[in-house]
Amino acid sequence: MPIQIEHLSHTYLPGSPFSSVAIHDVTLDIQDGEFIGILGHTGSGKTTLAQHLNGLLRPTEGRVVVDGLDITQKGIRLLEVRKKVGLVFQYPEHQLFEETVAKDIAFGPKNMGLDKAEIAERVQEACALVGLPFDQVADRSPFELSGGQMRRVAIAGVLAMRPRVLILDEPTAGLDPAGRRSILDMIRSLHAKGGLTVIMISHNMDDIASLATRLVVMSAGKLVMTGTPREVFGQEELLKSIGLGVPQAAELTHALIAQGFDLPKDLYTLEEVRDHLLRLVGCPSAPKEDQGPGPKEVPAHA
Amino acid sequence: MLKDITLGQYLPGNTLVHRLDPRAKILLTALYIAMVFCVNSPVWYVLPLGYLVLASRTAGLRFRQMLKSVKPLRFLLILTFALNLFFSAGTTVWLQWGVLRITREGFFTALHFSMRLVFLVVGTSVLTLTTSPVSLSDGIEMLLKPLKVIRFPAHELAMMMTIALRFIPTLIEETDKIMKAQMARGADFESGNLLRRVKAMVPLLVPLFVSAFRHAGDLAMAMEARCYHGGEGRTRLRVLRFTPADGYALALTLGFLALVIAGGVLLP
Amino acid sequence: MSENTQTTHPLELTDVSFGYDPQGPLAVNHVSFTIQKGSFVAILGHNGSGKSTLAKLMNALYLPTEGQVLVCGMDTTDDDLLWDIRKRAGMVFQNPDNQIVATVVREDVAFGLENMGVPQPEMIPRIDAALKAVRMTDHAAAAPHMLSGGQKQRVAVAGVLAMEPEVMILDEVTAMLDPSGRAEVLSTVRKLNRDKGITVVWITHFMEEAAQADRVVVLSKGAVAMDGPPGEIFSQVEELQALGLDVPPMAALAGELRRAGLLLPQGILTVADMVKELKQTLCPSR
Repeated sequence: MPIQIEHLSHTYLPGSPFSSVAIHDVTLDIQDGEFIGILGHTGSGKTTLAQHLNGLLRPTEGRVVVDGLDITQKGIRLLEVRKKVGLVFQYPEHQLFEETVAKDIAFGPKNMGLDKAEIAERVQEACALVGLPFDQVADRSPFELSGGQMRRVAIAGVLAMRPRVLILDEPTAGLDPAGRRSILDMIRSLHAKGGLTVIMISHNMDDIASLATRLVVMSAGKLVMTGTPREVFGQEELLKSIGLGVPQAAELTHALIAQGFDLPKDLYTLEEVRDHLLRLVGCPSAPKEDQGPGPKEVPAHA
Repeated sequence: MLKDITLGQYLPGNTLVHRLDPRAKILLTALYIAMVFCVNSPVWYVLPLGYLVLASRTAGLRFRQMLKSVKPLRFLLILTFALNLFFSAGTTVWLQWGVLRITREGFFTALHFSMRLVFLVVGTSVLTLTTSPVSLSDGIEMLLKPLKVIRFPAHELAMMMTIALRFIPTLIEETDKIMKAQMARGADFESGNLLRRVKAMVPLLVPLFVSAFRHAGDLAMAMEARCYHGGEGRTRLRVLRFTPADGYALALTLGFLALVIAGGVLLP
Repeated sequence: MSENTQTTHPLELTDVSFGYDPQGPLAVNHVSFTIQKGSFVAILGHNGSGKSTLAKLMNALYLPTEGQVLVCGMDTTDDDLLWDIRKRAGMVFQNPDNQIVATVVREDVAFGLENMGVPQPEMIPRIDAALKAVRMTDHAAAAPHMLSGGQKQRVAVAGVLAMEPEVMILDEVTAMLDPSGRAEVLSTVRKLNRDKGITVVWITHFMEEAAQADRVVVLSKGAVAMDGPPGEIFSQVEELQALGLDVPPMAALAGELRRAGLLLPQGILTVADMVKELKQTLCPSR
């Protein structure tokens, strides 16, 4: 289910003394099954862009076409768009309101006008997708659960609408390392198993590096570059100039190359760097004497 | 963004009126209100009018800005006028229409009460246009302080007002976020009859309440950590000081009030 | 009430325990350690390890069910000393919004001073100094909702700084910020520690932050699991992972390279460390 964004611009409060251009002339195509990572500093327009994809915001200029539906057309039923494109906000647990977890997850399907049986099935399915034990949580108040569990309930609430595209805005915000890993694993499996197209907005280069198939970099409302993680993270200078970093593995690679080490310049995962470094000094299982001073395999580069 | 818009009516400025002590301004407003109530025939409205013109000129306000404050009350105004027009006692009948009856006295009564409403609202808008919410809160706290003898919680009231003012933009932003999040799940806040729309507010109000309580709980802890323990022994950064200007303004206002009362007595 | 701040430690915890529910599990389980004056100590732990609870025991927001907490020699269970304790041990919290009370930055920084009954003329230079120290002087007249998360947290730090505490306890103050906000706040606080000698207790789950401290105390299930300098702590990759924590990526990489036979020293935490050590090990002649 492709999404086409054509010359999209959005200005907040146009014509007033408070008007500000949030995004300017963004063109982007999103194909089925992709895992897109959207990177950009705070205020770069990432969230504004995401909110156009399900019709929460309307373009000031340009078009957004979701599975053939042009959201700028008059009379468009936005509910149709929102069934296809699910959006999980930052700190989504802040929107929970129902008396029980099951009822909260059912909110979306209910708004879609589905019958009771269908709703119940979807609620169970969504719970399973986010790794929550349905029998244990269904009748509890969402406010009794831990922060991480509440977040999963909120995500289930969006998944219950069976969207084809899932947008997640900083899904790991505020979580500790274990919580982050857990949510990212869940997202990875949603993408792999569920056949979902995933768009993830994140500040964390390392998270994005391990998940995304394509990266979109925004800065000050403009789309600065897109490409595979390998292509994008190779551009450390450009990324630094717009206030972004790179995964530490990429940073290390570039620093070592600057010191004269012979490494490919597009490495961006720790595994790759490890393998290349070990290859550089000989076989990893070589006896210790070979790793002493006076390396043979590290040619000097000016 | 909604939150960027200046809260309420306050328009910053540096005129004489802006710089008056907020306590004085509150007292002036009270005297002005008394003045308006003391007018007992439409012709004497010329005095409050003159006062308003003087105040607004000095404060650099334009009449249009002040009239804006009447807008929300237009229905009440029409209602007041109509009720008084048709149902006041009167002898000189102008028009009769079954039960409805317009008399000369009724007409002037309606005019009088409507004008009173307009003058009250426009006059108090001078206060809110020239005094920041925080100054108002300070002024109210200081004026109510003497009531401590009867255990009136003036400090607590002022603290509540300040905190409420501080959180309004934050809560507006959160409302927007929650609304959008629920809309993303198919919620519809716009269509449907009144009952339906009220029910649709639940997914908005519950999270907002939960959020407000969370803010409150965290804030209370943070305040305690910074040694907050109520109003006892507290000093203040913002110190209010009366100046001669306050004295002159009060004297002037009392003068207008006296004229209105005198006028009412001498020429009813 | 002995308060010889020359010889008493800013914080001394002795066998401290705390449970939210008397019948339930202990959130803080027989914790003992002493914080040295002028040090920058990171308390690291996953969510649920008891670190936030521990923080609140340090300024008498919570009282220990067992054991003793001494702040500059003052026992937190002593009611009479409550405000003195909170003046000496200032705390900054996680949520940038929920610590700012006033509608204007400068007035919020004054809040603590007002509560302490500081005379008005004395307040002004203290507020100015605090705002300068956190580099928010230009925003003194701003409304809080117009500030970024990092700026709000700096205002919160200024609010505590103005009270001139001995020790500052920062409870996960960067958890809700973006990477640039986190860096901004951490560097501000490190500077305060270096330049003004304020003792800092920095509670976090980010290892990159803990790596910049003088000393790291690792909490797990309410108890102290490890305590030492960052280089030593982060070399123990397996132990940390067993405690549900991660290690900084460079420390993990160093561990793997060492296992493969490369003679790298312990204590590699940052990219700069790694580059330096790799050069040393592989090209010592350069």
